[in-house]
Amino acid sequence: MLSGLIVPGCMLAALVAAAYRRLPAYDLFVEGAREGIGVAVRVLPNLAAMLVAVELMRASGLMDALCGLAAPAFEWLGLPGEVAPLVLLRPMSGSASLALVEKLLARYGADSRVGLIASTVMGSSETIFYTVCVYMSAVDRRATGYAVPCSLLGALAGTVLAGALFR
Amino acid sequence: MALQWLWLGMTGGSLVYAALCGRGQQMLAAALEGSANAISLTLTLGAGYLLFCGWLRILRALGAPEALERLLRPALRLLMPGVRGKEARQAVCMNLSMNMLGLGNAATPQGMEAMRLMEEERRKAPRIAHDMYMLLILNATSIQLIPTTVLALRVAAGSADAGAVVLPSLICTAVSTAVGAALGMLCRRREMRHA
Repeated sequence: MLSGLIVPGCMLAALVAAAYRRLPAYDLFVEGAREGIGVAVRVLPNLAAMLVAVELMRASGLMDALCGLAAPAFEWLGLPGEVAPLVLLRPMSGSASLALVEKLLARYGADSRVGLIASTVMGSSETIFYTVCVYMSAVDRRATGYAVPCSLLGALAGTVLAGALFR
Repeated sequence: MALQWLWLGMTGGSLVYAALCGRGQQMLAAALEGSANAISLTLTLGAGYLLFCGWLRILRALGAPEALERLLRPALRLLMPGVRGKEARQAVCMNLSMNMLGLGNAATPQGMEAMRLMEEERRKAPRIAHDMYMLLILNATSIQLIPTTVLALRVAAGSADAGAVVLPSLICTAVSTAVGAALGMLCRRREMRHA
């Protein structure tokens, strides 16, 4: 695919340019990779907090209960109730929602309305809580102001539009 | 604040609900599984961080962030007008462009760097908090040009037309980012007026 070619192409271009300018590419890479360790270490505790919460919601059955409650609201917004769990799960867990898309595609078919909407929702949105968690781990502050509600409403707008695009 | 309450609601709500449904026994195992997931996810993500941070260091030595910052300056002036520091602006630009290419693993370290630099600026200019919220919104509603993972899933599920969702996804993600950013700008204006 496209990004499968762009990235190696950019890497090659960077290496050629570095060689042309006699930059120590190897040293630079190692130096940068060392910074990468720090990033991973900073992210881990924040991820643990979020993923523990997600796993608890799943195992306690609270997630299913919320999905059941939300389904009528989604029907009202013009979305099939089958995608309600996906829409609720999407901001919390990338891997769990990906598994759910797989299940929906297998059950209803990739080219059915449910399959098309589920694919579009998955492909057009981001794991909001996780993203906010990870980015906030860079600063020792927890104030996210209006960032989370604005992101959620934005994602909801995209989701409703996905339902409207596949009538 | 929001994160605190969200997390409290998710964990506390689950534990209460589990107790009501008689699933209390399974909660400890589930919590441990969650933190095990965090470790395996960090390993996966960490592999990407090492690779992309190394590669980005080369790009930085070549002056790519400066060039990108010049290119995106008008957009930045509109969305995040409070960011003064050059380095912070460059990190923001790198973060957003990596995101558009669908390279979340490359975007994250840059975004964290941008947040760190903006937090440093915040001591002198508290208004930059709004620009930090905007960076969160832009990343949380990310514009992704091609949803590669979903396409692979559709092909695997035997779709006759796997690419049918590419254009709709692009439209939806653009709309979600536009709505999120517009709401963010409204909130910013309102809070500034009250401040």
